[in-house]
Amino acid sequence: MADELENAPTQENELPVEPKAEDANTPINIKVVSSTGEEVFFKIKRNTKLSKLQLAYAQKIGKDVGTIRFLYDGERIQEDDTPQSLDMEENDAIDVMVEQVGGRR
Amino acid sequence: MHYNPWQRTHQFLNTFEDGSDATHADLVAEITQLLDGAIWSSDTLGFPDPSLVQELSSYASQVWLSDVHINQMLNLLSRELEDLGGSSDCNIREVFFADKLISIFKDPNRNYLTDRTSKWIRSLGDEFSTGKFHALAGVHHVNSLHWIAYAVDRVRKEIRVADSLGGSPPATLVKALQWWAFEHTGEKFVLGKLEIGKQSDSHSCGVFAVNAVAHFALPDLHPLVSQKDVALKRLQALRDVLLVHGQESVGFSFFY
Repeated sequence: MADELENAPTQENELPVEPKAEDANTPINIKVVSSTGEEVFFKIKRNTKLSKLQLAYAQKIGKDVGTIRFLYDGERIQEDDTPQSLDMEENDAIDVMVEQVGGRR
Repeated sequence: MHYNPWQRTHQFLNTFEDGSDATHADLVAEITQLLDGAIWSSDTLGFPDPSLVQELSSYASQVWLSDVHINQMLNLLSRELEDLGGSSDCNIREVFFADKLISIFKDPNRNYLTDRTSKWIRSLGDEFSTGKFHALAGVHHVNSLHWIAYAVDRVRKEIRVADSLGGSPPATLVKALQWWAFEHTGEKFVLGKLEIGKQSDSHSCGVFAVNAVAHFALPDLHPLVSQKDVALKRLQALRDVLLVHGQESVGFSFFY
C-alpha cells in the first residue's frame, strides 16, 4: 500500500457534497499525510463531512477505516467534523496513523 | 456479532469471582453492573478516540491492548491530574504525540517553525519552555508490537524512558525528544531512566507503560505495578472507562 501512495503523491480525489451556503460549497484542497510522509490529496467542499474523506482514503490504501486514526491539529477528527467546522484552510493537512497494538517486545 | 465479546468478557470476569480476593470480587461485581447498563454496539463516550463499547472487552482478557486503550488510560490519568490541580506539573500526551514528533524529526525537509501540521507540537513546546508544565509524558509504540513509557523532565533535564521488559531506549525516540526539548528550551536533555514494573508475561506491556507514566506524574497515588497485579489494573481501567462512558451516556443507569 505504501508503494501505491508513493506512486501517486499528487493524485486528487473529488468527493460529493450536499450544497449549502456559497462559501461552504467552495472546494478546498486537503492532503492526508501518513506517518512516513506519504501524501494523498483530496478536493473537498467545506461542508462535506470528513468521514467521507476518511472512507475514501481507507479504500485507496486498502485498509479498514476503523484501523486508521485521522488527526487534525493533534486532535482526532470526529464523525460530524467538516473542513468548515474545523476552520481548515486551503492545502491543510490531516495526519494519519495506523492502529497499533502491543504486548511484548 | 456482538455476542462473543460479551460472552468472553463475562467468562473472564467469572474466573475472578471464583477464588479471588475481596478486592477483585468487588471490582468484578461493579464492572458487571456497568456492563449490564452499557450497549455493546454503541460508541464509547467521553474519550477522543471513536471506538465501540465492545472494544473495551480487551481489558477483561489477555489480549494485546491497542492505541485506543492506551489513549483511554492516559486520558483517565489526565483527568485525575486535572482533578488534583496538578496538570501544570505534567502534561500527559496520547500516543500520537511521539509518532508525530518522530515524523517531524526524521523529515529531511523539516520546516518545523512554519509547517502548519506541526503547529500543535510547537504550541506544546512553547508551553513547555514557558513553564506551563514542567514535564511531558506518554507512551510510545516500538517495533510494531511493544509499548514503552517516556517522560521529558525539565527539572532534571532528562529524557526518561522505561521498558517493562528491560529493552534499550529506542534511539529515534530519544533523539526526537532531545531535539524538541532543545528547540524550545535551548537546554540539552540527557538520557535518564524512568521507573517501571517488571513484566514477565507476553501481553501486559501497555499496562506497565501507562503505570510508569502514572507513577512518574503521581508517585504517591500510583505505586509501580507488579506482575501479579496487572490483571487487576486492567479491570480497574475497564471500570473507570465504563464510568466515564456512563456519565456521558443518555439513559445510562447505575444501580448503587
